[in-house]
Amino acid sequence: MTAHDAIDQVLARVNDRGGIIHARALVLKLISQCQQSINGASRDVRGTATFQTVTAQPFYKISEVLPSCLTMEYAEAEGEELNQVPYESLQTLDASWIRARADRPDYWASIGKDLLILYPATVSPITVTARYVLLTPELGSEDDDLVLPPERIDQLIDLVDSVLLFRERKFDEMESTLTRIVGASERQ
Amino acid sequence: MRSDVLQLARDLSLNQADAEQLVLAYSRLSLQRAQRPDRLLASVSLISVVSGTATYALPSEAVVPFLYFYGARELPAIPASLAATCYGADWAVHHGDPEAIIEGRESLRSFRVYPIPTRASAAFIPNYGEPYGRDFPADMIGVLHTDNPVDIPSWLDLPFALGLLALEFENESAHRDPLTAKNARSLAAVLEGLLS
Repeated sequence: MTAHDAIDQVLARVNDRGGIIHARALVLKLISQCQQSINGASRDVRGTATFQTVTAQPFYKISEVLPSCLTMEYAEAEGEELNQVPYESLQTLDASWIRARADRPDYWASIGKDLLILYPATVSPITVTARYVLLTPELGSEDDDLVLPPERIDQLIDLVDSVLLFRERKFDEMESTLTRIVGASERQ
Repeated sequence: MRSDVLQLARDLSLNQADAEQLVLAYSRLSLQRAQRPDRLLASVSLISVVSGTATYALPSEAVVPFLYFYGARELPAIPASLAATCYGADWAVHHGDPEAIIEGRESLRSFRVYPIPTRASAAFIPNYGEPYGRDFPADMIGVLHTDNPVDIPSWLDLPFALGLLALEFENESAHRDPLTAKNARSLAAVLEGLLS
């Protein structure tokens, strides 16, 4: 489905087919944002990318090395899977983890959405491959295709609808739409 | 981008929100977000040690520090009330390389190391342009902390814009609207819940 079709559907839901109350450009932005939220929960669309480690560096900004990553799920280096651990347990694994170095990392940990730790750091640059929940690309025009699978489109339309209902101060309708979205999300 | 979030908030409010108040709300919300335990946005900062100085300011972008290290080791955070038990009654005049962080004695924007350092950090020389790699100095204090960035990541734009409206419509003003504020907050929570 294109963003154009999605905008038409959303505007029809709120009885504003002409985009008089809700400009199409605003609805496009909302669809773009809501698509990211829906994929964050459903994890339907994943991405894979590689990045080069920096010699001796344990810390990486995910937004810099994996700009399309919303939530990292898996990492491997030189054909070996790295174990994911909570960052708090690195101290237990190795009291000197911050300065540890090896040919390749054995573990990875993330803090929040944007900080990645590789342990041990590498003695020279190597390639790490990461798999992650995709931060779906921002929709730049109505010709762009949505990336969510067809079975998620209703949920997406519901979510955008709820934002427009908020904008119209139709809070009871918004609440019932949100209840439906949360229910669908919890069933995933 | 901050400007995108502010514009989105104005659009969602049908231009009923006060533009100047939204700017203030942005700063407040950004700070509140960084104080939440999810540590959604975190960074590492390095702080040079000064010989004879025990107290250091946190970097301006840091909000909540949650891990300190010096050399190759994490520094345990010790409550000030336990410092004497751990290090003796005269702990505050001990000297040496940093071994711990003493919490609760300084302001929110600073921290104290134990013992008082006797060696200054070497000059930070970016030979490789890799501050956390080959240029990563061994004798600086590293701090992992939550961030209060000027520009939040774009995927947070919508929940953040709604969060601004919640703050704005809670404020005492001619357009105060607690019901809109409540619903903005609940919609923002759903959106953030999906993302996390």
